[in-house]
Amino acid sequence: MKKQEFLDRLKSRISILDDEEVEDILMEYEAHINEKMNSGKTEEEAIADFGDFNELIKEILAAYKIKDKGQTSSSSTSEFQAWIHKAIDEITEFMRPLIDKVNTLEGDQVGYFIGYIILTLIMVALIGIPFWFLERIGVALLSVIPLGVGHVFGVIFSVVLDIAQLVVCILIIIYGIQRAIEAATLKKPVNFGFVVKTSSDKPEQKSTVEVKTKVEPKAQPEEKAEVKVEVKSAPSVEPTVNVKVEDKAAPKKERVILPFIGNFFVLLFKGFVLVCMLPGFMMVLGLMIVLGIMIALAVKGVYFIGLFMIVIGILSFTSTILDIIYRTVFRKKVSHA
Amino acid sequence: MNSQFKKGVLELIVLQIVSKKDRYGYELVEEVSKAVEVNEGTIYPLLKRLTNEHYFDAYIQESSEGPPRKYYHLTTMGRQQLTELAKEWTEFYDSVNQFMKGD
Repeated sequence: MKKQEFLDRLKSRISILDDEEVEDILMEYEAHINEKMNSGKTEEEAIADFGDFNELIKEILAAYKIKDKGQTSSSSTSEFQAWIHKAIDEITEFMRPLIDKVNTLEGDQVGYFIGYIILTLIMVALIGIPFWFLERIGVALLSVIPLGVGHVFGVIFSVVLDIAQLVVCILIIIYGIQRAIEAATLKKPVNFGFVVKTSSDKPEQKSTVEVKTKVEPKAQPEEKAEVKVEVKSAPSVEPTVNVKVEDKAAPKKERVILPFIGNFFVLLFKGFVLVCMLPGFMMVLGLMIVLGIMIALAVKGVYFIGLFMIVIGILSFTSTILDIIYRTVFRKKVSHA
Repeated sequence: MNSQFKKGVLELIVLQIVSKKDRYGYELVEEVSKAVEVNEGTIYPLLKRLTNEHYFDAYIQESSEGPPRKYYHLTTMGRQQLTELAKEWTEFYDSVNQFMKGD
């Protein structure tokens, strides 16, 4: 095995860990291989010294108290399923930046995010109106040309317009999503009522990190430290809010309501996703029943090979999509504990 | 040598090596190999675990040859753990020896 191949395989198998941890582990192993090569060994020899690859993965994950799922599942389930899992991993890997963005969003940031998305959708709807007018006018004008030529041109014209509209819409959506992510990460206010800037809620995450680094040299297991810090930081936030509230009566509402709205949107968003996933689950269920019937029929000697393939295809596609959505929205990364 | 034996003792050896002076990964692996025959890949997960348990502090330092290296430093807590483990090891070693001589 070559170095890059080894590192790639390693990366894909420990992707369950925090990105930072993964980077760290990869760095260590790469450094080790490089040192080995400096001392005169070949890439292959250096990697062979690590012994059995699966054993190594098991050891690494065990250091984080995680059992190696990939190993057991590939031996106990079919190749097909292993392939599906791999494909899902690949896709989530590809979508990792977006997933991370969504995962790191806080309550009020989700407010901005959703604000921009709504704005984008409204833009897409509005952009249809001028195109619609243009199409009517164009077709009406072209129909003046005699002998049916005008009609043909009219059809071509409207198709071209439709494509143009589609392109514009896609551009708007891409731009909108970019802006939404930007706004969410930078906390830029959008022109909506609910997105006045708030300073009261959610410095929690930052303070956790700060205090954690202070705690680190002390004699405490990380897990305990983290819990403690969170409890500590919560009351430390509250007093500052209270003081401000006493100062001014008017902004009080905003300060209390805004984080609430943010969290409400998070909940709403997750609920919305769940509801959206429901038909997906139903579809999977239905397809499984169909599959069952088909297998029963096949046993009796009636074959629908084509249909069979289609059902399996849709089934795996749907479940893949569901899995991705689930991972994207509800994904909790495993941190070292 | 029995790998279960090694696993337990490896932590002791690694702590002992780092207690003398700060080491980077590869160097540490080499040192360990001098003491016991060990699969090189498995040292890193151990280092990771010991760092997570705050026995080690890790820091990056530039090196004259090649990219910066990650050094491990034994913390006070690590030193306590080392004393503890060394004591356990001695006791264990003595009692097993005693037993083997016994009959």
